[in-house]
This record gives sequence, C-alpha cells and structure tokens, in this order.
Amino acid sequence: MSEAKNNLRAPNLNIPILLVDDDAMVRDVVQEYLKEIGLVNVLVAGDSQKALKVIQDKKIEIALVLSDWEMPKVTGLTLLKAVRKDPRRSQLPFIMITSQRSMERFKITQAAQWRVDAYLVKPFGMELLREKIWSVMGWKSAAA
Amino acid sequence: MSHSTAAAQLSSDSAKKSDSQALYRWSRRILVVDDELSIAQAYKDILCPPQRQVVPLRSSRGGPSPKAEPREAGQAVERFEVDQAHSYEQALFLFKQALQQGRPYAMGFFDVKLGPGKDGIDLVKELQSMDPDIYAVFVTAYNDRSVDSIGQYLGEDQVSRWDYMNKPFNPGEIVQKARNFVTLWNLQKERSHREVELSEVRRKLMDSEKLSSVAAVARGVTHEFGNILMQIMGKAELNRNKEPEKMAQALERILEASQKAAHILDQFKDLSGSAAEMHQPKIWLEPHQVMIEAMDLMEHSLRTHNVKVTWVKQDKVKIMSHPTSLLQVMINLTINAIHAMEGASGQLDLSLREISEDWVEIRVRDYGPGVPEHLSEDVLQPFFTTKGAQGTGLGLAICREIVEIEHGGQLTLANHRVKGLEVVIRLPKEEPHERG
Repeated sequence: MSEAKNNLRAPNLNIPILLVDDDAMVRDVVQEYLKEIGLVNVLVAGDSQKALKVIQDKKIEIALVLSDWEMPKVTGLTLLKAVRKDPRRSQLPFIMITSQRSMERFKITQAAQWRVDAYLVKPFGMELLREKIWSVMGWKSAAA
Repeated sequence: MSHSTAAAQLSSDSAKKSDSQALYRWSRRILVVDDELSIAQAYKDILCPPQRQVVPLRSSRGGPSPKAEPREAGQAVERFEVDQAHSYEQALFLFKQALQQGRPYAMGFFDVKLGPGKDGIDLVKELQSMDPDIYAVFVTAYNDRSVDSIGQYLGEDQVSRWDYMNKPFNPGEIVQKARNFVTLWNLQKERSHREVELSEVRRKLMDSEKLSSVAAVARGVTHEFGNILMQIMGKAELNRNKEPEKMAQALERILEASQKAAHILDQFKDLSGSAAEMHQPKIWLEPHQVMIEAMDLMEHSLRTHNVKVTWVKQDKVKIMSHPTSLLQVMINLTINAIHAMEGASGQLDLSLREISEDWVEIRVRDYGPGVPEHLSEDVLQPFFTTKGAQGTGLGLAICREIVEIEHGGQLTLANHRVKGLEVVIRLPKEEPHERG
C-alpha cells in the first residue's frame, strides 16, 4: 500500500474510520488514541456483522478499517474477506489487530491472501498506531 | 476370486481412506533351496518366468502387438522374486542377509535331501528360529521322514507354517503353493502393519488432545492479556500529561485491568499447581472427605447466596488421587453452581457413589437454568464464560483437565431432566497402569 515517497499526500484527518473490537475496553482505548492523534471521525462496532453493515453503508463511505482478529462468531479475517469480495470496497485499507504472536506466521499467510494492509499486535502504543495509519493511507508525516 | 485380488482390493481401499498412512507393500520373495542346480532353476522358471512371456496388462497399448498367444484364464502370470540356494550354508547366508536388509522371504521351497549332514528340515528349523513367520514347503523324492515326525521336530507353534509335496512335482502345484503362502504371509503382515499403525494413531491422538487443551489455554491467555495490557498501556499513555482528575480515572481503570490479570494468574497458579502435583504420587483418600472440605471452604459463599447443600448419597470409598486437585474440582463446580442460581435461593445436590469394583461417580447438580443444548460442549472449553467480567472461563476446563488427564476419569455434563445442570464425574479408584 505504501506509495513512493514523493507521492505522499497530506493527511486528511476527517476520513471516516471504522474500529471493530468485541472488547469494549480495547475499543475505548484505541478510540482515545485516534482522537489524540487527531482522527475524530471514528465509528465503532462490537462485532463483524455490525461492522460489515457500516462498511456497506453508501452514506458513510468508510475510508479505513481497524479490526480485531479474535472475535467470537465472526472473526476479523471473515470480515476482511467480505470486504475484499465486495467490488465497491475491495480496495478499502484494512488494518488487522491481533494478540496472537505465536500464530503470527500462519495468520500472516492467511491474511496476505486477502491483502491485509498492516498489522498491529496488542498491546500497542499511540505512536505505532499513528505510523501504521499514515503508512497505509500514504500520508505525509508531519515530521518530514 | 483369489486371495491376492481380495488383498489388492483391501489395500487400495485403505489407500483411498488416507494418503498420510504409509501403505503396506506386498512382498513376493521366495527362497528355493535345492542342491541340484537344474531343479532350483526349474523352480525359478516356473515362479519367475522370463519377461517376454508375460502378457501385457494393457493390451490396448499402441504398437505392434506381440505374437505370443494369449494365456488361458486362470493361468495369468504372477511374478515372484526368487532366490536360489544350493547348500545349507548358502541358504542360511541368503536368509540372514534378507532379514538384515528388512526384505524377509515370505516362503521357501526346501529340498529335504541336501547332501551329507543336515537336511532341509534342520534348515527350516534354524530359519524359523530366526523368523517364525516364513512358510516352508518341503519337497522330497523319498519318504525319508514321515509327516508326523516333521511336525514333531518343528514344533506345535509352527504347525501352520509348513507343507510338503513329493517329487516329481508339476508346475501348477508349485505356483499354487507359492501363491497361497505368499498371499497368506502378506495378509498377516499387512494386518499387523495396520495394527501398529492404528495404535500409533491412537497414541498421537491422545497426545494431541493433551497438547490442544494446553494450547487452548495458552491461546486464550494471550488474547486476554493482550486486551488487558492494551487497556493498561493505553490508559497510562493517554493520561500521563492530563489533569489530576483524568489521571485518577485512568489509574482506576489501570487498577481494574491489573486485578483482572491477577485473577487470571490465580487460576493459572491453580492449574500449574495441579500440574506440579501430577508428578507427585497420588495417595489413597476418601472423596467424601474432600467434598465436605470443599463445602466448608465455600460455606460463606453458599450461605450468602442462600444455597442449601443436600447429600443424595455418600458412599465411604477410597480412591487414589491428588487431594488438592480434587478439592479444586469441587470448588470450581460449587462456584459455577452458585453463579448459575444467582438471584434466587438454590439447592446443591451432591452424590458420591461406588458404581463398580473399580469406579466411583460424583454428581454435582444445581437448580439453575441449565446450559443451552448448543453450548454443552463449549462450556468445557477454556475461556468460555457466561459470567462476563467475573469469570475467566477456566473453571470447567480445569476440572476436566484434572478429572480426565490427571485421573484418567471422565467429566460430562447434562441438563437434569427436571431442572438445573448436573455434572457427572467418573473416577477410577486406581488408574490401570498404577495397579500391581
């Protein structure tokens, strides 16, 4: 997803972001991170089904998805697959959040097939989250 | 249908069932022992005809078809792998070499007269002492030894492993004997090969089940801790430069998260504690004493939740067990029962019964809503919980671990036909391998 450096765009902090996690505490923390970073247009969903509804909503036009992998019933991977299969949303930037270090290799292979744009392994700090989003969105870093 | 066709059918079936299992390969090795070279060669020509005489299996193949006349049905050529020996010593050498190479002979044709000294029957006795599976066909022109005396000499164990024929023999007879014994030998080898494979598969399955419950616990913990640390790290980072009230709020959340982590660790301490205990020898104890102790420990909780304990049956019986892990099972089940009856006053039925000479059965029944049918297997999995933040979902998984892995017993649960959930634990008084 990362484009050539000279092609980087100025960050658009108003893009609608969808955050998906079944754990309310985690959602809460990540949402606060996003707010602190300056990304204020954040929608949240507690499970993949609700998330998919939001993604498919034509009025919202989600620009970035941050989703937990390990969710009961419908996992983050299933959500990713559903997004990629939707011709209208197949290019939607998707960041996967996971806590399973040991299964990383398997998961990366699996997710690579469905073009996951970046990974975040729990627990992660605000700066890392910012870096990943900037890189996935192809945004020019403030420092540069 | 000949044996070999049936066996080929069998082996192709098993090949379909699983490609991962090593397939048994048929061996058609035959040892021919005759001091007359021409006779030994005659066997070979019959059992192992030169290639050009073999009728092509696929006659539909292109190219000019060989002029050879088609053989009659039933005379289709079976090729055996034949080694010849012309003396006692040579036979012994070839036989040992075949064993060493892991390519044993299925059967042999043995001339009884092998020149001066030891005869073919002595040879077979010696060969069968090294490999009792080999089939032997004695070939003799003279009735120098009676059938009975051969039987006596080779011993009762080997009675089904030999046969005889008189010279002059005809080719059909030789092929017939070779076919029968080679088939029999292979069918037996194939069967034991499968048995070994099967017990191997069983053992692997048991190992992987043990591992998978540990792995499931580990996976669950990683996930839980990832979330908890996320909360701790996030709250700290987000609020370190904030005003005191916000900081105080954040610290409160951090504390909550830490307590949750500590709670999970507690459960783990229990689990690893009982794991450590697994390596200690078990002792003879009376399960009803352990159950009473558990109720004593839970007395406060039972009282504050208005739960009455009723003993349905209390057999006095001794089993080999680890006292603390059994206690842990009882406490976990009691906690679950109290939780299931939350809000209403309840009753806990306990029963301890000697169900056979070797087994005891503990039943713990609550009067709560029971478990929905579709969840009855899930509740035994690590980290499945219906208690929200109050539970870690390890309780029943640990109980099952203790009962099934540590004690070789069985833990099942089912809704009681009237009301509530009933957990049934069967424990062997002694694990079979500990006896004697």
